[in-house]
Amino acid sequence: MAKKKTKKPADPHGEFRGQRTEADQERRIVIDDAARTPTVLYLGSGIFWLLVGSLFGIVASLKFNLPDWLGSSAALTFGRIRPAHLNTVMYGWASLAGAGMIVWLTARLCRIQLQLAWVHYLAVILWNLGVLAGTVAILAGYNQGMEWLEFPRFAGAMIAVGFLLFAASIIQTFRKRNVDHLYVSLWYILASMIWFPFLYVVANLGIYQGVIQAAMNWWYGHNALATWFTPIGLAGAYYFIPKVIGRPIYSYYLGLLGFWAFALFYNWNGIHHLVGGPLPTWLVTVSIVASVMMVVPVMAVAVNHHLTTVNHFRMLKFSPTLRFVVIGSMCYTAVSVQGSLESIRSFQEVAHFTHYTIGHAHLGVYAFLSMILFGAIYYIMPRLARWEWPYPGLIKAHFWMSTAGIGIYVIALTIGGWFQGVQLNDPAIPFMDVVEYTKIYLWARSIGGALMVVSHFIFAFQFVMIIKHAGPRRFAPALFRESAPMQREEREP
Amino acid sequence: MMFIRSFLFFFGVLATVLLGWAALVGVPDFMVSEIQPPEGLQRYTEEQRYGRSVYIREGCMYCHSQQVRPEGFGVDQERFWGRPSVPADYVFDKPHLLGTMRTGPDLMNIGVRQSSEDWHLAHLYNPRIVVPGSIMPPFPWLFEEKLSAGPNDKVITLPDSLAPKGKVVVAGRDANALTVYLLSLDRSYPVAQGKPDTTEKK
Amino acid sequence: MSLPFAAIIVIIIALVAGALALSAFIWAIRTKQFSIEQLNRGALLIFDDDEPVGTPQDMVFTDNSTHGKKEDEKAG
Repeated sequence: MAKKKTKKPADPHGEFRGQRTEADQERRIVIDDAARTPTVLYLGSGIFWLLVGSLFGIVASLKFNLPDWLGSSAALTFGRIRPAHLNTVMYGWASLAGAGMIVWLTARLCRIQLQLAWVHYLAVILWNLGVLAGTVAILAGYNQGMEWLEFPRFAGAMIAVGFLLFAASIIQTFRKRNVDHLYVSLWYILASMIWFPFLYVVANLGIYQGVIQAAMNWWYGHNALATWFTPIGLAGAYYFIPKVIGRPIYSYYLGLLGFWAFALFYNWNGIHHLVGGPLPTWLVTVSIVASVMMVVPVMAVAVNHHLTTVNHFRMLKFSPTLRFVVIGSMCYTAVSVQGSLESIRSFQEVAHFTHYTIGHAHLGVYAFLSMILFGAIYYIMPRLARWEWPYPGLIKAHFWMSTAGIGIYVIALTIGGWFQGVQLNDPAIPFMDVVEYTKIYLWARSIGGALMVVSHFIFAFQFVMIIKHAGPRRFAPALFRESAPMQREEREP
Repeated sequence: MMFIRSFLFFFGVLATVLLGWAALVGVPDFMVSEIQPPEGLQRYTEEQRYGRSVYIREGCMYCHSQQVRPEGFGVDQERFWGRPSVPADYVFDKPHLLGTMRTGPDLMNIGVRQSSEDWHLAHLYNPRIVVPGSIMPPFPWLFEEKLSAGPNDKVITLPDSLAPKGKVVVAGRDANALTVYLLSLDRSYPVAQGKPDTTEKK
Repeated sequence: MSLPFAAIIVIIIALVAGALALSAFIWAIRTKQFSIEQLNRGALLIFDDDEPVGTPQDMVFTDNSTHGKKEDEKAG
């Protein structure tokens, strides 16, 4: 596929434009083409894990509602399927789809074809095998016992090597760049190439014990978000919002400030997961202070993204990418401010140990990160596949179902979790009464989850269609400038 | 110029993550490494260790914490979940099982609070036998169905609706070990409480 | 006053890191890294002459592009 695509398409309308324009367009097409196969492999396997992971999620959620359902199956018990859900959606879906977006974005921002493209084939294979092996291991009962680090070490090693190969290509592309400036998105991407391997390797060494292992666990757990998942989301938002709207980012200076504040504060946050726990108080306090300081980078990013968007809300009507990405960036602001609040002791006294936290986690990983990834994929794929999304109606269905689903999910767990915490802190209320109280909210969560699962299948269906160039032929914006006759030669059977 | 900028960028990025690691893991590790196990805390026996691995395998820690919060922070004491936990309680724990959820109650001292072996076995076979309305999953694969119980078998008394026809349900090796582990969870021995932040042995 | 050994190490590391960060910042100011030209060049990097500032991308949910395309086809 990649070889066939490297020839430059002729542009019959070239005479109506300046030479420079034609050169820009051709250069962009050449760069996109060189990144095509790795990007599609990453995105495709990411979407595969999204389907698997969200099925795990809905089964886990239903197990709260119907505890005896599938009750005799060891592999499908809640305590195994919950970590399987977390690991497949994080290391499968978000990581692989994020890697796909990063590959494509880095080549574009460095204005050079992807370097060392072949290592991505190896990386995709290793990464997918690692996630597969780890997931099977968890379901079979080989759980390492720490949240976010459940994969056995051999699976972790495969993912780590896959990531290092992937990072090598990204760094090499950066070294060969044809630009003298680095765009904001690229800072986040390059930083995560340094941060995440260090983090993942240290966490998987298994050299700690007792409470320090708990500190390490949550240093890792929160930093996986800080050093890998959030940078993916922010890199996407910083590129797609201004690009789709066609206006530069509101304040590049704030972008700088936001990045360095992010780098300084975010990776000190982890221990707020252990507020009230048996750890040195100063350690927890340091993390709370850093969590509250996160307001600085979050506000810098929020001002930047929202003030770029603010006069162009009309465009949300037309662009699927912008819809998803703007919703995602709004939820980034929301989830981050919520996170800063949540780290404070008096807040934690109620919200810790409850479903409130689960709502918060999904607001971050789904409503922020996954939404931005959806938006990115809707932008990237037509340009790589040279084929428009065949069914815009299905894009709308995906958007509304996933938005409604995550909305129901987060609102239900936020309210239910908060009052669960209030009741737990009243010793006059027996524990079982609290459990009884949460049941209705857990049903609402299953309903929200089901909506999301269905929307993912719609999305995956359309992804398959665009790769196969199936469905009705459409001429929409991504292909607007391309020559239709050439496409027909190449593509019609 | 571009080189200096790139260098500063990568250096700064590396420095931030190293500082975070040093502050949150490195220094605390150095401070806590001196801690001695309290006199009342025993090493896990072989059986308990195996039971603990079953606890991890079935993912109990996703719904049950093993940490009691200090007085004035939540109502763990009033719920009789035990005295506030200290770092010394965990010196033998690897992996740690502090947990982050209380979908079910804290288990730091479950061996004290519920010391009946029969209760635990029935509860593991199907929690709704002993706790109506529970949303905990059942774990029947930790048990065996037999035509008749052997001399050393622990038979689970089941309500008619759950009992298999013509067979008895006895605890398997995993159920027994897990119960032994749960019953061993007793951190009621005295420790130097003091302020919770004085973790260093002077 | 006696500080724990760990605290002394932390303070030294913090001072060194702070000094390095400060000198990097002074370098950045001296060499005008934050000048408006530098910042603008960065911000405009994602645009080019073919997709310049002022042209929205990716307007999928609209019929205009389809019509436009069909006319283009005829012309071609």
